[in-house]
Amino acid sequence: MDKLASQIFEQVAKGQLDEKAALQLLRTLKEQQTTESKEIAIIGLSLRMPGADHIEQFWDNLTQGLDSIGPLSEERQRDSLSFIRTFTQLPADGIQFSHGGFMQDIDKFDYAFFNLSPKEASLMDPNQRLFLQAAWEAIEDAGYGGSRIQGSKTGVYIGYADWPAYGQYITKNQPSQIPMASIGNTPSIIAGRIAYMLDLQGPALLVDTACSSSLVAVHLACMALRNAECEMAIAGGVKVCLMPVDGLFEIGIESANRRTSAFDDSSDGTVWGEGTVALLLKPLSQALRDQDPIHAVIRGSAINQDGTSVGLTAPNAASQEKLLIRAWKDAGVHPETIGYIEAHGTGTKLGDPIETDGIRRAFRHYTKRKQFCAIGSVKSNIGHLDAASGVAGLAKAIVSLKYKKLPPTLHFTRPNRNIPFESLPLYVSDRLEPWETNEEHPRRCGVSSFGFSGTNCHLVLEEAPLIGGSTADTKQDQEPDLGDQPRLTVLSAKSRPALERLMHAYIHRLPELDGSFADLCFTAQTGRGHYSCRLAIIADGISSLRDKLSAALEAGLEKLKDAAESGEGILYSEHRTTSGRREKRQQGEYTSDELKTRSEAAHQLIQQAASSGAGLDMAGIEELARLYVQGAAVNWEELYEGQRRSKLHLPVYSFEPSRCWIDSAADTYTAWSMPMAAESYKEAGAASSASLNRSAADNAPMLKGRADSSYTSTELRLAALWADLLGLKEIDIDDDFFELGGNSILAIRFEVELEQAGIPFESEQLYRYSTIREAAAYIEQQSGESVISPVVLPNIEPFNDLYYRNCFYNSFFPVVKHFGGSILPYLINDLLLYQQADPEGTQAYELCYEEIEPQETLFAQMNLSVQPRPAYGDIDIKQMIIHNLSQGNPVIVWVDCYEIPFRSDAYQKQHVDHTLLVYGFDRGTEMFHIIEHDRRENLSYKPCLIAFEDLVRACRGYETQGQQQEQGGAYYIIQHQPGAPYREPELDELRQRFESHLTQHRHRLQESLAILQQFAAWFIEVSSTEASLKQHIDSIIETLNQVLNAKQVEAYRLTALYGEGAILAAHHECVEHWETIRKGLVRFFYVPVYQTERIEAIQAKWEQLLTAEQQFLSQLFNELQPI
Amino acid sequence: MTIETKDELRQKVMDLLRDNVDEPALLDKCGPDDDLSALGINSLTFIKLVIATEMEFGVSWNDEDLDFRNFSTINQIMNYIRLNQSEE
Repeated sequence: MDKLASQIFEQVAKGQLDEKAALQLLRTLKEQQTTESKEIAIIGLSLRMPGADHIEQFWDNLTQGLDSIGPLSEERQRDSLSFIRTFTQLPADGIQFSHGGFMQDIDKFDYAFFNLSPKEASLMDPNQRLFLQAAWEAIEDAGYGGSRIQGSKTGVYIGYADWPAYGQYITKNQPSQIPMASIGNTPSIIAGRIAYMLDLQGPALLVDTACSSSLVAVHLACMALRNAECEMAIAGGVKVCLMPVDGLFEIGIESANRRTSAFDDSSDGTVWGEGTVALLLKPLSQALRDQDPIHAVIRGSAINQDGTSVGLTAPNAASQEKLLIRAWKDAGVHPETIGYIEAHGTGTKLGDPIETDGIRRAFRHYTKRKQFCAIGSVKSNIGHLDAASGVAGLAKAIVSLKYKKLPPTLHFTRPNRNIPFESLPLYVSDRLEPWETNEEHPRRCGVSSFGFSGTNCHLVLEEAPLIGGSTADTKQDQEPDLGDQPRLTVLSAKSRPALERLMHAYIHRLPELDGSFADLCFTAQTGRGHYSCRLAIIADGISSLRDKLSAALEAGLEKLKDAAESGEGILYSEHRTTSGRREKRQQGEYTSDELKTRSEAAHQLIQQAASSGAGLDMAGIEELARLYVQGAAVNWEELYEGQRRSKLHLPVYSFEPSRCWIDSAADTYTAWSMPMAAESYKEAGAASSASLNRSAADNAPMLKGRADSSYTSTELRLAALWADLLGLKEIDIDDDFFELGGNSILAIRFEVELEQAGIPFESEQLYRYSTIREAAAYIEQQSGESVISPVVLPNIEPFNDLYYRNCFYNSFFPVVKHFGGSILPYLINDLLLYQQADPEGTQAYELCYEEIEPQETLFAQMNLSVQPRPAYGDIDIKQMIIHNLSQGNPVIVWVDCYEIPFRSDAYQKQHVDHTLLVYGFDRGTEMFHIIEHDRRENLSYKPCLIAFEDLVRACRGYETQGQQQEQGGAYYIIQHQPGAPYREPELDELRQRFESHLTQHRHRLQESLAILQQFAAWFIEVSSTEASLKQHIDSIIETLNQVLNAKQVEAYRLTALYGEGAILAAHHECVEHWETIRKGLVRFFYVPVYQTERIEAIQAKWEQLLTAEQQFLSQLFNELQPI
Repeated sequence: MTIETKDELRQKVMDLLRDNVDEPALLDKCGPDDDLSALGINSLTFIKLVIATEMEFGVSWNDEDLDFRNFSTINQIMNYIRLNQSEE
C-alpha cells in the first residue's frame, strides 16, 4: 500500500496524473485498507443481569463490588413449583431452592409490542422472550431502530445450551396447546424469530458448546462479518433457571457457601446465575464510515478444543495456552499491551489454577514481565450464567473499557495456594482502580470462556477509537452546531406508560450524554421506530430539552394530548390507523389516506427547506412537529442529506412488563392417571378446542368500538372465538387479527372452529377481512342475509338448592356461577338473628338476615359490578336487555307475575312482585331466555322462554301494579370487570371468614337465642287458648316458614364449609323440632280444632327446641373458635 | 272405616289430590310413580294433604312421624294409608 501511494505521488510530481484524480485514488486506497481490517465494532449493547436491567446499573454494581447472589423470590418459587412437580420426584416439603444470580422478572414480556397474542406469548419459552427484547434494545442502542435494519444482511448468532423444559412442560401437561406452543419453544427460533420480525437476511443460528456457547457465538459472528457473510450481526446469549433447586441439575462444581470466590484459597466452586446479553456488531471500518456509536472493538478471537484431555469435562492448560496465542495473533497485538483478562474463573479449586497456568504458558512466549496484567471474574458478582457466561464476561470487559476502570473481583482475600501469582504475569484485580495506560497503545483486554464440552474461546478487545462516535472531531466539516439553534426531538412508544418511562430515561441520561444536541435529535429521529403515541419537543439545547421533558411529564400527557401548540414547543398526540369503512371515528383515528397526505406534506416541507439551502425555519419545524405527532411517516434521513451526523447511544424502548407465564391451573395431564393417558389427552383436546360456547364462558370477551355498543350475533361469536384463540379479554371490532398476534396457523384454526359451527369461512379470507367487523359482515353477506342466531349466555344453571332471603338471589346466584364465582361468600355473610318484630307489623317475632359486610364488598371481591337501576322510566326495556346481553352482561329484572303466561298461579289472576334472570335472546323468534319457576314458593326454577313483548309488559307491570317493596332497583345489570380474574375463593379462606364472624358476633348470637326463648314463652302463652291461637296462627306460620328457610341456608353453608359431622347433626336436630312444630301448627291452620293433647305436644316440642338450639350454638363456638 | 279395594283407594287419593294441589289439571298426566312436586306440592300443601287424608281415612299421624317422602307419589300415599289403616 505504501508502495502504491508513493507511486501515485511520483506520478503527480511528474505531471502524469492530475491532483484531483490522485486524491481520489488515495482515498479509495485508504478505504480499501480499512475494509480489509479484521476489527469488529460493538455498536449496540443491551443486557439484563442479576440485579441490573441496563448497562449503567450493571456497571454501578460492579464498581460497588455488589454480590448479586441471593435467594429466589417467592413469586419465582411459586412459578417454579409446577416445573419441579412435573419433572422431579421431589416431595413438596423436600424442596430447597438454591441461591443464585437471579433476574427479577423472567415472566414479564411486552407481547403487544411484538404483535404476539398474550396466549402465544405465555406459551413461549422465557429464553426466547427475553432475548427478543434484549436484541431489540441492542439494535436501538446502536441507533438502528425502526426500519433502518430491515431487509439488511444482518446475521443472528446466539449461544444457548438448555434443554427446552418450558416446552416440555407444555407437551406433558397441556398437550392440546402444542400446536400454538411449538414455535415459541423451538430453540432455533430464538434466532429465527428476530430475523423474521426485522427481515434480517444474514445467517441466523444457535451455538451450543455448553458454557462457552455465547462467546463462541460472538466469535462466529465476527468471522461471518469478516467473510462478508453479513453486514451486521446480532450476537449474544441467554440463560434462565426454571428449577433452581439444591441437588437438582448440579454438575459437581457448585459452591457450598453460595459464593464464587475465583482465585481465592477458600474457593469451593461456582453459583449458577441467569441473564441475557445482546450485541450489535459491525466491521469497524464500516462503523466509522457510518458514524455509528462504538462501545468497544473486538480486535481478534480464536476458538479451539481440548481434544482428548484428562477427562471430557476437565479443563486443559495446554489447549488454553494455544488458544490465547492464536487469539493474540489474530488480533495482531503484543500480549504485553493487554491490561486485563476477564477469566472464565469459575472459582473451583482445580479450574482456576489450570486457567492461570494456561495464561502463564501463553505469555511466556512473549514476555518475562511479572504481575502486569490484571485478572478477574464476573462470576464472583453474578454467578455462572452457563451458556450466557461468556457474554456476561464480555459485557464486563466492554464497560470496563468504556469507563476506563477495572472493577474488583469479589471474595478474593488470599490467593489460591496452587496459583503462584508472584511468578505469573497476572495479579487479581480486587479493588476498583483506574485503568492506566501509556499513550503507545489503546486499552486492551482479553475475555475467556471455556466449555464443559471442551470447546474454548478467547476474544481480544480494544477500547473504542476516539474518532467516529465522539463528536469533537466530526464537528468541523459540518454545519456549525450552535447551542441556541432550535431543533426537533421526537420520542414515541406503543403505549402512553411506555412513552412516559422513556421520557424519564431521557431525563435521567441527558446530563451525562456523550454527544451533541444535533446528533441526539438525529439519532432520535432516524434511529428509532415511530409508534402511535408521539411526543415532539422543540428545544434549543440538551438542557432545554430536559426541562421540557420534565414539564411535559408534570403537565401529564393526557392533558397535552392534541392540545393546541402552546408556544412551549411541546406537542403530543396518539393516533391509530382505521379503515375508511368505520362509521364513527374516535379522536386520533385516521384512515391510511389521511396519514398518507400528512406524510406527503412532511416530505414537501423537507424538500422545500433543502432546496432553499437554509434548512427548516422555526415555522417549518413546528409544522413538521405537528405532522409527526398526528401520524405522518417522516423520512428523517432526507432532512440530513449532505450532512454527516453521528449516532449516539440514547435510551431504548421501555417494554411493558406484562406477565406471560404458563397457567399451571390449565394442566390437563396428571402423573397418577398414567393408564388413562390417552383418555385424558382426548378430554384435554375436547376441552381446549375453542368451541364457541365454551370460549364465551371462559373469556366473556368485551367487544367494543361501536358507538351504540350493539353487535350482531356473528360479531359476538367471532369475538368469543378470537378471545379464545388469542387469549384476549377485550377486543375492538376494528382490531386487526394479525396485529393482535394472529398468524397463519391461528387463521387455520379459526377456519376449523367456524366450520365446526357450520359457518363456512376460508382462512385466506382473514387476510382480506382481518377485523371482526369485516369478517362478520363478509360471513353475513355470504350466508345470504344477516345471521339471526340467538345469543344465549352459556353456563347458566337454575339455582334450586334453597331460598335465600328473597327471589332476587335465585336469579342472581346462577350469574355468580356463570362468572366462575362461588355463592358461599354470600351465604356466610349473614348473621341469622331472631328479633321481636315491629309492633305495627303482623308478626310478633321474626328472623332477620343481618349482613356483616355490605353486598357491594362481596360483589367487588368476585370482580362483579352489579348496577341497580332504580326505575324503568321511559327506557326501551327490550333494547336495554338485548344490548347488555350482547355485551355478555346478564340482566335481572323485577316483574309482575300477572303478565307472565306460564305463571299458572298468577297469570292474569294476581299481582306478584318477582325477579327474573334474563340470559339470552333470539331475534328470530322474538323470545328472551329466562330462568323462572312456574309458581311461587317452589324450587323448580328452570330455563324458559318468554316473548319479548310479554317480558316488557311484565316489567312495566311491576312499576304500575307492583308493591315494589324491594328497594334497590327495578333492574340490575351484572358485569364482570373486564380483564379481572374469575375468582373462586378457597374453602380455607371462607372457613376463616365464617369463624371470625362467629367470634366477633358471639354476643349477638347469644342475644338472639334469648329472644328465641321469649318467642317460646310468648307462644306458650298465646297457644293456651283456642281464641288467641286462632288470632295469631297466620303470623306464627309465617315466622316458622322464615325460620325453616333460614335453617336451610344455615345447613347449606355448614355442609359446604365443614361437611357432615357433629355440628351438622346438632343443627339437624333443631331443624327436626322446627319442622314438627310447623306441621302441628299448619294442621291447626287447616283444621282449626283445638285439641289440647296436640297443642301440649307442640309446647313440649318448644322446650326440646330451645335445648337443641342452645346445644347447637355451644357446639358451634366450641368447635370452630380458637380459644 | 273399612279397607277399600285398591281402585277405590286410588280414586279417593286422586280426589284428595285434586282438591289440594295448585294445578289439578296436571294430575291426569301424572303416573302412579311420578313425583308429585311437579304438581306444586310443597311443605305446606303437603300438610294440607296429610290432614285431608287423615280425615278421609280416619287415620292420625303423629306430627313427628310425618315425612314428606311418604307423600311424593300416588303409590306411596296409597301404601302409607294402607299401612297405617292396618295398624289401627
